Amino acid sequence: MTDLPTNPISDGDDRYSQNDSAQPTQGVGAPLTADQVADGMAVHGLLALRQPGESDRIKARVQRAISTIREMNDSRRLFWRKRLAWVGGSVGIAAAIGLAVLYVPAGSDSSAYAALESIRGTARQGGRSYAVRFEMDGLGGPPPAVQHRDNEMKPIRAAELAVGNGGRWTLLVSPPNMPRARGAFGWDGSSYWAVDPVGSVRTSATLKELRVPPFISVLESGTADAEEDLELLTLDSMLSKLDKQYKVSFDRDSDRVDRNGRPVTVVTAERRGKRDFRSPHTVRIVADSSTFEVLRANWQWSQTPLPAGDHSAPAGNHRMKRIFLELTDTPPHGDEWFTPEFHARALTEMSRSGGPPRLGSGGNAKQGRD
Amino acid sequence: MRAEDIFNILVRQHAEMLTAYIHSVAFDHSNVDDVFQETIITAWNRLDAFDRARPFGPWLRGIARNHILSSARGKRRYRAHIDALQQIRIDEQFDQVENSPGDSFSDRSAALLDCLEKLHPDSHAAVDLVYVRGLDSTAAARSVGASDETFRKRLYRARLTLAECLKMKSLFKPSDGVPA
Repeated sequence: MTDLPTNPISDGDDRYSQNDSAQPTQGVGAPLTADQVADGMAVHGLLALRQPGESDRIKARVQRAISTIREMNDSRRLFWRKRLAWVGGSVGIAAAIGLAVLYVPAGSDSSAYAALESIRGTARQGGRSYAVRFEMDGLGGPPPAVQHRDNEMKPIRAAELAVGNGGRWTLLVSPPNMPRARGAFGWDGSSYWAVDPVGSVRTSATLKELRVPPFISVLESGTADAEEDLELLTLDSMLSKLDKQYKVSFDRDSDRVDRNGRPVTVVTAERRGKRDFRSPHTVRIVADSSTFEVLRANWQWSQTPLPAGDHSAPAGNHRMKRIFLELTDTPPHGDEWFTPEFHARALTEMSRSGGPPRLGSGGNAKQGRD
Repeated sequence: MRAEDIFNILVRQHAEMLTAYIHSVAFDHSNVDDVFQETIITAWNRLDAFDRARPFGPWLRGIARNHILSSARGKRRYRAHIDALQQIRIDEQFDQVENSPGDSFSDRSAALLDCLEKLHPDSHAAVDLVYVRGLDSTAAARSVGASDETFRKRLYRARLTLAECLKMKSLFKPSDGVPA
């Protein structure tokens, strides 16, 4: 058997010798049927999955194949873009230059985009809850809840984000200076809704039209675009934004395994536009390597001083510095959690009974920080 | 959701099955990575030809089989050892596993673990040495003080016993009894 494999699994060339036409029953002692030979081979395949490290190799194969497809697609797009640029040349050099500039491929890591797509696909499946923390510059009010490692006291507010299937989400927030009160808003699959701490409900077809009451607005930037910021928190919207407006890459310096020994994939995204102060400057996502479930995410805003007269920056003194999401072990919520009626009832009762516990004290974070 | 997103999810869902299938059918197991890669890329390139009314797994296996046959072209020994009937039979067994209850291919083939527990201790040890500890059969034979040939026969019988057990558990189809 000179041409038989040397792989530890396939080294069992007995698989083939059993079917040798000269000695079809060699080594087994009874005539074998074609089915038996095939069944033995099928069992061999199932057993091969038990090889040490096979699970990791499978993940690596999938990743490699998806990355290759992504690169192929990028190349095809580039091919057509080049052709378009060439056609553009026939109508004028200026047009051709314009097309060529437009069609320069992104400098990002294509496999990171593939990972991002997988993360987005998993995020849409729902059934997860996240603890959300906000850090803002210049927010007045009570003393901050958390002292950071650098001993710098920072204003922090917390929220709980629940992601349901079909893109539904609910965000519970504590109004500033009222840690014992809550507001809620979300999307129930057909419309956006908001419930204030006394149980009043507003609904709208778009988040922008919802006119989230100021006491539950997360950013309180004082601008008409405040609601757009809320969209960042829906996870799906944020992940979609990354594809278009950010340069996405793998964070290769990060550990591949977090503290709990869970293999993780870390994707970082850096905003392309230098002057878009409303969007986070850097986004870092830590996802489970096998399921692509988002374990943690960190939205970081640029701390560059605002240019004088720049109206794209948030007005007032409430600039967002950081949003941090962390998966909690909260069990999946039922369908009613994503409806305004449920929260209207709950918040009405809470406002009568003195309010709920402080946000962030419920579900435990699943993972330590990597 | 874009076609690429859906395709990526399907690939992840079927990756274990495809790997097991390639291990089952491939002549040269050092090519598992390459066959897997070529299969997925071909599937993506021919996605338009995929009949969405039919299951994805058998379609993927068909592509993998073609790649394996293509790479084994000219290797008479391979053709002698795996004929069309056997390929059909292997496909049927994978269909049976895929149609069993469970969230993943591993879940569906969990009955294999029960069957392993029921193996004769010598057979169980042979399977464990090769498939779990990753020894080649020569090293495994040496570790249990058996000759190469004896060990390989033991391993082969273990696989046949496992196949019979899986049939009892309805994870494999029963045999038709056609002589090889």
